[in-house]
Amino acid sequence: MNFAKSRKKAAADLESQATSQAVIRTPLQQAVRRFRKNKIAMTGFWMVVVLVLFVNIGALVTPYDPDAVSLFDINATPTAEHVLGCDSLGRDLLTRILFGGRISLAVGLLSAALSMALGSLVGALSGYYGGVVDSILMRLTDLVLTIPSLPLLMVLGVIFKPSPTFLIIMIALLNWTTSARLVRSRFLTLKELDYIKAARATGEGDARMILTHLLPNSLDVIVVTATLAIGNSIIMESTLSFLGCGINPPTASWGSMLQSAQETMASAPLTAIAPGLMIFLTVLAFNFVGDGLTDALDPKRDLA
Amino acid sequence: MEDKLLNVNDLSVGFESDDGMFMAVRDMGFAVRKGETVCIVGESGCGKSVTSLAIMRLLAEPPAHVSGEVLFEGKDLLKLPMDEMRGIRGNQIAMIFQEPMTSLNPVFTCGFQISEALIAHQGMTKAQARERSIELMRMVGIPEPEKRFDAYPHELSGGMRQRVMISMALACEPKLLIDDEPTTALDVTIQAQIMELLRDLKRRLGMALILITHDMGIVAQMAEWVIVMYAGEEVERADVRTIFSNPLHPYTEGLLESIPRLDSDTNKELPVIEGTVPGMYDMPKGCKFAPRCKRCMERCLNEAPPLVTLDDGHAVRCFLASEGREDSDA
Amino acid sequence: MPSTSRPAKGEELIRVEHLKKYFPANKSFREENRTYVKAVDDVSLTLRAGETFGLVGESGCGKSTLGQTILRLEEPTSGSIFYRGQDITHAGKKELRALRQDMQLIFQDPYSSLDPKMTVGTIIAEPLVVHGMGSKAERDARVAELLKLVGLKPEHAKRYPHEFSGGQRQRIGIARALAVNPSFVICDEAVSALDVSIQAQVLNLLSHLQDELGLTYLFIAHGLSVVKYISDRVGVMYLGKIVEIASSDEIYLHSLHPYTKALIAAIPIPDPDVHNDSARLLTGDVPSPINPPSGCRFHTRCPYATELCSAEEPQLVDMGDGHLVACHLAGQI
Repeated sequence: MNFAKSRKKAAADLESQATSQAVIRTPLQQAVRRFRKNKIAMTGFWMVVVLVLFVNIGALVTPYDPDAVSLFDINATPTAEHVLGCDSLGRDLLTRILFGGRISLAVGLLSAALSMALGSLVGALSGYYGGVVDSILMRLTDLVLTIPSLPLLMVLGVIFKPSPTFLIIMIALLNWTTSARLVRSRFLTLKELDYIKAARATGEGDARMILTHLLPNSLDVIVVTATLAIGNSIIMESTLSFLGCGINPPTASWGSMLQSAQETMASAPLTAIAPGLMIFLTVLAFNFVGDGLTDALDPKRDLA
Repeated sequence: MEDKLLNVNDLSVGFESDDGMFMAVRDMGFAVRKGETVCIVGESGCGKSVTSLAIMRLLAEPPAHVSGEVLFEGKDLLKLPMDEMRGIRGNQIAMIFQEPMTSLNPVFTCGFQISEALIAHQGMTKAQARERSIELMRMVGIPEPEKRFDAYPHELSGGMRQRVMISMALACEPKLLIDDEPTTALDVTIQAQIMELLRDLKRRLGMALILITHDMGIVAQMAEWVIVMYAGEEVERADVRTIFSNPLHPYTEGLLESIPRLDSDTNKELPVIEGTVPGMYDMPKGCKFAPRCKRCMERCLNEAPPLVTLDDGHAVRCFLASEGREDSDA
Repeated sequence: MPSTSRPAKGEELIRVEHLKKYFPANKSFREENRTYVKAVDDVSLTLRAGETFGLVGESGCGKSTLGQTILRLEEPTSGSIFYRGQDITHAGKKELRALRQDMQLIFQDPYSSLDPKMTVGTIIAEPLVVHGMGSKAERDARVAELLKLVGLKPEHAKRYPHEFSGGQRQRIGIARALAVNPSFVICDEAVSALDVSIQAQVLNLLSHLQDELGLTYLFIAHGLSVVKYISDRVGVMYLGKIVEIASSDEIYLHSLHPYTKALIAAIPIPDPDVHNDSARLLTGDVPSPINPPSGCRFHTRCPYATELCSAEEPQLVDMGDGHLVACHLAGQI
């Protein structure tokens, strides 16, 4: 009797396959686990968290107005009151780094999100419908890719004196092509898989097919390109502001701070080093996260 | 004893993973005599391919951990320095893989890939190697080998590519050829051609063959000696006739019964082995087959049976077979 | 509900007439430069309710394309398809949706046929959601019922596909196909990727389900022994054409087409004392379906081919008892 029971249990254990944790995780849990095991990715992740908190909380806490000119403090060296010193107009450098960081991060994150959404949409339509739709959308993508973005943005910047919103939209409009191409090619691969055929054989409509099967299974490409795009957007914003065609003074952004640091660089090197280092660290952090996500979300591993 | 070409003792292969170590192969031990065909049969994940890769030392270490002994003509391959191993690989032991599509390099001509081995291992000149390659291609039944010498892999059919693979493996007249499911990706009529070819080549060249397969039909047609694997262990080994006429392990029996045969009665239900193969991380603690075994006893769930050799080298890992026999002897 | 009643046993379920499916092999703008892969070339076939029709052939013979064209997953190039007497060759989107409740598909690869991002329960319930069948609770109950039907447990519904072995995944695929209670199921190499011991389990499951639910199967496979085991009738395909149709015992005992004979001879016999007849082995490879040989498509590999075979294409001829064969030399070899 006892034996029959234990035998049955052994068989049942086998049948339910996954008695150990190794197999029982959901795809998301697996990805999170892989990501957490990746030291570089985790470093990047914590860097991002610290940067975002630092910039946002710091901007609330700081006693100074980022744009307030103080003639007594022109090019002040670091003191207890002005931790990083002041710039050529006597504005507190740390405060400007914090406020500028908010702008730079916002431009980076929002334009990446926007370009991801636009790119995924174009890629999804193109990959799913194929044929004429695909040809038209892909030629459009090629066209956007041929636009030299920096000169265009410079010209626009000079004409419109852009607001942050304008910059976000412009950068997104020039950056969606990568994700469009990647999503399209992922869709083309997925379309050949049997579970998509199975869905067609059940009579699923186009919208449902895209939303329930194709997009969730393309999420890894989308998330990864978006993360990497954040770094790109921050650099683009900085470049434009540095060239004087982006965020306009007196509003601070890391790029515009670099621009105004051009004259004072020799006497007060911190005015250039501080924003430069922030750009460097932020882009590095996002790229670490992006690479970590690529490995963690690799769909080939989920198959095993 | 001298006629033994390959002697595998206590070969175990483990893999490191995020969730600890799992054993893909445990304590394999078998011998291959000169000119003999040994078939390793088992279902996917039973460790048959890992065994062959471990013999060839083609597993990346880590994550793999290989222990035990692989004696090839008395030399332990696992202890050889890498450069000496390279001299043996392809030269004395050759291997053919399952996928003829991915095992050939698409950017080189077939002829180049065959002659490469000849130039590297046998120090032939280019012209000599070309001549020999064409000869080899003719031997494996590739029509118009002079023309095919300059063909790229994508210009050939699956069966032809597998023939190119075989001629590459044969280039240096190896003493041992390891075939990992050489026909699984091929159609039945092509499979039959390749099997016929391998049989014929073995006869002519006198080489030994380790054939890894899951098809009992191929085993019956090709093997002299059979090793049945289940969940990383040998469960039974014997000469081919004994395996088919007197299988002692319930798994071997089940495997033989569950093949639909052309002459089987279609109205009867196919006998099956219930349940599923245990997962890597969820090995039962007693006999690995116990939960699926129709003759399972209480003991089998708690105690792992040893591999016991009966007469004629017939070895079984099952309490029923081994001890029943011992009792009758006593 | 597309059909008010379940088809009665023996009723004509599917009829295919002169079905052709060509895929363009290049994208030339000029018609005369265009070449086509003739995947299915003039196939006619009738399936009766409750039977299992096995379709064998080597890779590239068009057997899977034929299945998918019948389901209208591929648009036929020409010919017609009838389902219970109704012409569905040009059925519109709405009609097709309704039809898909009656016809389902089981796939070969248990790994690529299940969406890895969905739980088993969601996968099986999906066809029900798509066809708006039942409330959430009713669907959950149906999923549990289906899981039991295919030999899994209701609690498996919360798991993800990667937690299951190949055989179990195949059972999940079968449960999904049966969710909408279809009357016709195409099994496209449904057991080819499975291990022998698991293959037997799934074959038994399929035949149980057939008895229980009155299903009609089109069973596509490349292994004649499996097809012969499960089928009532067997059709043999070569390069886009059916060359022989007969009952499964008849095919094995009295095959008339040399290609069928070769297929049988090529199966390795699981008995060390009986050797395969190597004299009957085919030589050469399957020719390209872009430029199939003239006359009988098999004549380039046929050991019995005569001049007539390369000149004139043989038609399927009834040799009695529904044994159809397309060979000039039928009965003489």
